[in-house]
Amino acid sequence: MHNRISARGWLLLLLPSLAVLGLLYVGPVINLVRISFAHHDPQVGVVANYHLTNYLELIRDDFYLEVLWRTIRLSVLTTLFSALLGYPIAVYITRATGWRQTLMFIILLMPLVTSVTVMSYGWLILLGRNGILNTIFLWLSLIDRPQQLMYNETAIVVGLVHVLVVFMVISIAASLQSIDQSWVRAARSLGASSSIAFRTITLPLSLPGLRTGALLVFVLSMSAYATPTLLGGTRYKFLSYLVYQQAISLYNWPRGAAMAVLLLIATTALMALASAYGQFRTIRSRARLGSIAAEPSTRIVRSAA
Amino acid sequence: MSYLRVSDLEHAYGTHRVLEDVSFSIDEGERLCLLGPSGCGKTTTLQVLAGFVKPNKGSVEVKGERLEGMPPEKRNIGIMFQNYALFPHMSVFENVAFGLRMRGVEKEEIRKRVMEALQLVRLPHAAAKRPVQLSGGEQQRIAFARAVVIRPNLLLLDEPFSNLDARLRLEMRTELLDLLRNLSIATVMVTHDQEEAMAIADRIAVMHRGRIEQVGTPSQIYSHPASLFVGRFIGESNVFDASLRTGGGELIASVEGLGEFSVPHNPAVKGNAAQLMVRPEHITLSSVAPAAEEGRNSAYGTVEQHMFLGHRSEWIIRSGPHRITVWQSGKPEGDLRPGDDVTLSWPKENTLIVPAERAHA
Repeated sequence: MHNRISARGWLLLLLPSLAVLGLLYVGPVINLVRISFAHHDPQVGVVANYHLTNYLELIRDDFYLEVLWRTIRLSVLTTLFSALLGYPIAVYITRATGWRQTLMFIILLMPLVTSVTVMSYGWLILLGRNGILNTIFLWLSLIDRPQQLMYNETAIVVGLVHVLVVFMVISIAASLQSIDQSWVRAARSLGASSSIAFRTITLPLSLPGLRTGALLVFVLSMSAYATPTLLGGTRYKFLSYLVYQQAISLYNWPRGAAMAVLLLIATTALMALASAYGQFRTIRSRARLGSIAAEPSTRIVRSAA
Repeated sequence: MSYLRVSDLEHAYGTHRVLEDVSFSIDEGERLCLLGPSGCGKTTTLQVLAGFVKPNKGSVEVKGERLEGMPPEKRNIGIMFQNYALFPHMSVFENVAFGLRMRGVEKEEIRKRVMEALQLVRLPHAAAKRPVQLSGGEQQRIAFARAVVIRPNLLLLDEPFSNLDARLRLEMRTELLDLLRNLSIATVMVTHDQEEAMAIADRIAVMHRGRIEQVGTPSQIYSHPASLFVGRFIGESNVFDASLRTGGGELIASVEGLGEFSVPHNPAVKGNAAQLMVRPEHITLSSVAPAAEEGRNSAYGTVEQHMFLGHRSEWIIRSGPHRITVWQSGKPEGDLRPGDDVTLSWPKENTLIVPAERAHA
């Protein structure tokens, strides 16, 4: 069969998407980086006079650093809880069939298709001072007066996990689906109980899905805007809110751009760190494995000689 | 007392009955093959032995110990899976070592036994490789090493050759038989391939629709099939509807349009309706009518087709409403061409009768 596509053919096929990406993504990002070094004049706006002042100011700004640190910290927590919650759900989804599987997906996708306004009312009803949770706790006499359940960091994490856990579930489920049940059976027949078979076979083979899911959730939560703004209130802000404030409310584009670039750098650096750590571990385990296998075979060679 | 005893297994998936009254037993070191078409219940039987499927009824005993309710990991049964099921994230060494690790065998001992097992299958140099780096035949040998390194009480082989190409299949068949003979582990193998079953097994259990139709040595099954299904599933057969009567102290089967033949008794046949089977390789062709011979049956027909197939010739003979397939390894007497009249003859003991069923069931 002759259906190979030449290099030029590939390029031609890629062209539309490359054009769109270049026009709508790469160009603006380059421009963003450029503006982040520009001078801000309250009267004129962006002035093409480039310096590092925007960055230096940000690095010295305690409030900014606090928000950056909160964004990173809460994103890591969100990723962690999404993994812990998402894994069992993914296992359930891969084992469930028919309407149960469909129902589970609908429940998971609901927050993604619900508008932010509707969701904010939902949280108010649930977590507000006169909300369902406070009413129940009062009625059970667990508390003696209504507590503030919204507008704190816990609420941000709960909200982000609620919205983002679906990405974790889908990527873990895809990974689990590719695991052949005969591997698990083989492990069982060789003496592994079902929990040991899970630990030695299913879990390690689903790690790629877990990794992809963690990446997605982390990136999405680092750049989340609506949920943290809604549930964090005025005191607990996320970085994306500060960027918005600078660029839209204060018209300080250079400062906003510098914040955005720093957010981008922080996210990329953390991801690179995580992937480097992952690679280091695989290399180490391969090396260890190699030594186990190499020793006896050299011994055989020696005994044969 | 038998080493493995399987009694009265019954199982159904929903309303679909997959096992009915399945019983067999094997002796120490014996190799039994469950043979049958797909959906006959052979794989379910294997799953029951392994502990992956809990049967609705029936029992499994190994060395007098009942296995009911025992989880797979406690049964000490080695399984070679159809797709080998080698763990992709572990090296060959780790794959083979897995069962020993689970048993808490000491590290030095694991190393020794894994390397012994790898040498047994002639792949000690593959220890550090990953399963994906191995060929199909090598993967199978590793799967075998992994299954036997734990010194199992029972070895289960699930369609061991189905994932290999035709050439390799023959090679591995000889190799596996050698390994099994050397280790002499009680083995239950499942296959749909009659040749594989006959090559590997000491005894064959032919399964059909969830039941065991016949258990016996390969030659018993081949020469004395208990049912039409067994006769047709193993080897080729010419099958005719026949009616039985006794005449002159002999059992006579008459086939309309073909003739009357004296046949050996088959206790499975009740009543006087039966089916008569003659295997193509048992029939001799000749252009001149041979003198009626004691202990031989004969019939007459016309040559319809002749095919030269290298190691044998295949002839299609028309006789009244019947078409008969005949295989000859040498040249038949005289020069036969399509349209020539011909005499077919075959020994009485190779004329088989089985209980009547619908001919094309």
